[in-house]
Amino acid sequence: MNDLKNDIGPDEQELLKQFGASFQALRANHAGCPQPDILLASQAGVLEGETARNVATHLEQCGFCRILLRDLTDAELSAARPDEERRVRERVLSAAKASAKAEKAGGGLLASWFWKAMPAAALAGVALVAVAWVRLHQPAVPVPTPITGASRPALTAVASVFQWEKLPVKLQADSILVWRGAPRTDQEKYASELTTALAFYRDDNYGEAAKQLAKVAESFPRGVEAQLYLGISLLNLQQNAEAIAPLSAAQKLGPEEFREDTTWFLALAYERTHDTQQALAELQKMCQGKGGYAQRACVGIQELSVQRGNQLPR
Amino acid sequence: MDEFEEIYRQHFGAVFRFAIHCAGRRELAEDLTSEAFLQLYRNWAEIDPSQLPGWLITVVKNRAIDYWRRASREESYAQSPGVAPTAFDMQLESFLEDNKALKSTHRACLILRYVHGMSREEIAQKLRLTGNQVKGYLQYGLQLLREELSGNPGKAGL
Repeated sequence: MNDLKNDIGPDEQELLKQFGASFQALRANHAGCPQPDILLASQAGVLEGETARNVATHLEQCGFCRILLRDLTDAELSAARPDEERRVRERVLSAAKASAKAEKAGGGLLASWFWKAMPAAALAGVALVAVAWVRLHQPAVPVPTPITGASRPALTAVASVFQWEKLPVKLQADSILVWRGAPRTDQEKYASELTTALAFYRDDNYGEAAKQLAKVAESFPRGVEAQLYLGISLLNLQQNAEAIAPLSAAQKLGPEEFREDTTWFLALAYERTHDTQQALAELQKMCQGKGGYAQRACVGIQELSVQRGNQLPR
Repeated sequence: MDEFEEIYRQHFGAVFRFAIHCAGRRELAEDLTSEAFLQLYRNWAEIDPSQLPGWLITVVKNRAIDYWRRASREESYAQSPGVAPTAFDMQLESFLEDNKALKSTHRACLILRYVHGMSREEIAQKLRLTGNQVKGYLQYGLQLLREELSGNPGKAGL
């Protein structure tokens, strides 16, 4: 076990002397096992598409991964440690501090919660919130560099990046508010109608989803989810020109968490309607950025440029 | 704001556990949990507390989906073990599955060590244990494993 060369304790030496080859073969056999965090995410249902299918298939075949997954979800290992609880609390406190300032101290419920807590903890939390925000909103991988001629992949060997791919339903917290009884406020009505419409989207009934979402978008033109999923549904139905308006609207509404999704699907709509110039403009925004679509956008630019017979944009 | 604090105390544990399951990495679970409670207080006036922690869980899940979508675009993951399990694989798997003296922590340490090839330090970081705890868990697990392997020398073709 080469990996353990510098880390073998005396208790392991004897065992490895006797069974070293078997352990080495074991390690080699399982070199392709997904990392433990991927296994956990798979079970939690937060992986998508091919990744989710690959990990599920692997779990069916690999007993060690099944055991590990079961043990990692055991209460003892998944319970929060005191220091973890403290750090999360500090982050929330720091937000309460900001809220307290905004409300001129003393107005809101959180403000009073904050003032009852440790001021030092709140101050420390400011930095932690910034770290949390960056971790959650930045890609987990190094920033992809735009593809140059030298690193260009062989286009004939890969499928086009411009393929419709279902975007899983995600909602802003404001849109999944829980309410008692019949919806009363506009926000509650929006959440209620959106939920109904998105049920069709979830069930891959894009025709009905598009109908319902169009109604929601008409009643609540500032509802970014309605506009975005309407556009995506229309793209699935090959109503590409019709998809541009709701996707543009969603992009203009622009909550950060939806910006990349709307820009990508808008680029896709332009590409399908042969408006290459607009498609390239949208892709450039993503290719030069740090988001999760960056690499795909850069490849998309390359594809479009090759199609046009042009030089790659710089 | 006693009510919010009470809600936080009441639901923190469940939300954090779910976040660990979604994220796999404990530091990311902290981020997801913080984000969920921050969203909660921003929407505090409009949320029915009796529906918690479902609302918090949904926020965590949405954020986690977003995170993994970004991550998985950049990386491909294994599809299968690739090679048929050996007799040794099967014996070790049975040992881990059947030995009642092993706790989940022992098993996790053993698998991370011998299947994933992690160092003790990496295991400690992954499970948020101390180095000495990992050492102790591995020693105990190895002792049982040695007995198992020595007690069945002919078994599984060893």
